[in-house]
Amino acid sequence: MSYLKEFTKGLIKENPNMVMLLGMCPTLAITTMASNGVGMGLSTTFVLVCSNIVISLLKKIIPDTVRLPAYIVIVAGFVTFVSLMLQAFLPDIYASLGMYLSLITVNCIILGRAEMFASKNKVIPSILDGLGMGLGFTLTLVLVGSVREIFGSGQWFGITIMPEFLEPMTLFILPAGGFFVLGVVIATVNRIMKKKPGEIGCHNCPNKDGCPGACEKAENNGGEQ
Amino acid sequence: MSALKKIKPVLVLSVICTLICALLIVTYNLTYVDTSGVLTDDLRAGCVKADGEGDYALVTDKAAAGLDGDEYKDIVKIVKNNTKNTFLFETVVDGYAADGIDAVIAMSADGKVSGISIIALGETPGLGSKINDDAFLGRFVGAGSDITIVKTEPKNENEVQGVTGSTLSSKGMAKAVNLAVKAYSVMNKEVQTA
Repeated sequence: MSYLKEFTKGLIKENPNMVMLLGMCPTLAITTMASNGVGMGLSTTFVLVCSNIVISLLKKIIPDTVRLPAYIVIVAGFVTFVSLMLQAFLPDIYASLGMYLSLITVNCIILGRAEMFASKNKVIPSILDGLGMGLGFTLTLVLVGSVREIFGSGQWFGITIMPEFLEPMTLFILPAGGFFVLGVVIATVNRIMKKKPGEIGCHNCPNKDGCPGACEKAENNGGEQ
Repeated sequence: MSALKKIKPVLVLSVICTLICALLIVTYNLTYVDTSGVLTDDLRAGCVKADGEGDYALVTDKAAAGLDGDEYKDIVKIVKNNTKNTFLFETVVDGYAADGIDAVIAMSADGKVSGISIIALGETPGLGSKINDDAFLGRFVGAGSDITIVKTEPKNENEVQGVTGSTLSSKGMAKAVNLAVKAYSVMNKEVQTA
């Protein structure tokens, strides 16, 4: 039961993009096509699951002082592995993701999950957490990518679906369109989930697990944050 | 005891780095494919688009063609169409993005451009990417040396009208064409004197 919860929380409730607002750079940069979103999302999911497994296994061995460099080395290793594999077997996706593939290394979703979850939990929950978060990320990318591709190029997954006489709105595949679409998608999802914006402060911060103790300290000092 | 405590983080990090490196070395060696000196599928498709179906072969010796100078470094590969006995040049030049335009330029026997196809384009979608329109690429067909990009209707033979909103990409394409024309004339001389 609780295992299932670890998996599903990443899909919508704690979706890394739409709720925690992490990993914005790839979300805006590569979502000009829905197929890019699938490639990027699944690559990130793979890296996330692998790094969560390794970090969760090594959590007692890695000393606290060097944990961040150790996590980054592990993540970077898996990212390079994925990009070599994509280059060899799926060169089209490799070409369209370009440098954003290597930038998965510094995607805060991955380091965030390592720091907040994998370094404190057992292996199986960590795998499920990584899988859920990764698929949640993929879901957002495909959603944003679909909207941008349909309006910006008149296609969906490369298949023309808009009638010929409608000129595609190029704005949607330019960076500005990315911001618009992402904003609207986040708003829509939060509306459907009936999520009300909480009071701004430490306790409502979706990333508060990442800074243990700092929250209580701030509250005790009378400050809001 | 405290010495061990100080060394342990360094040791653990080093071991992790070594293991990750080993994993990557193995992966790299398993997946690496050397494409230099090979007529790849992408390049062949580009050649077919620029010069029609034919029997294409790579000219591997750039130096023998007289093209080993620094000014020809943007010419990546030279392909010969054995069916028509013509040459094609793959060039990678800067458009708006560095190395943004990877194009194949086919030359006819009289040293004029006979066709262009773009293999990979890293230019801005909706702006620079418009240079991939056949209408624009078609303006270069029959072009000779020293092409310049103009913003209005071309008045002289060596002028080509650029694409609105993609001046730098248009200029990049012109640079690629000029390079191919020049390379072809140098190569022809070399062949005749040899």
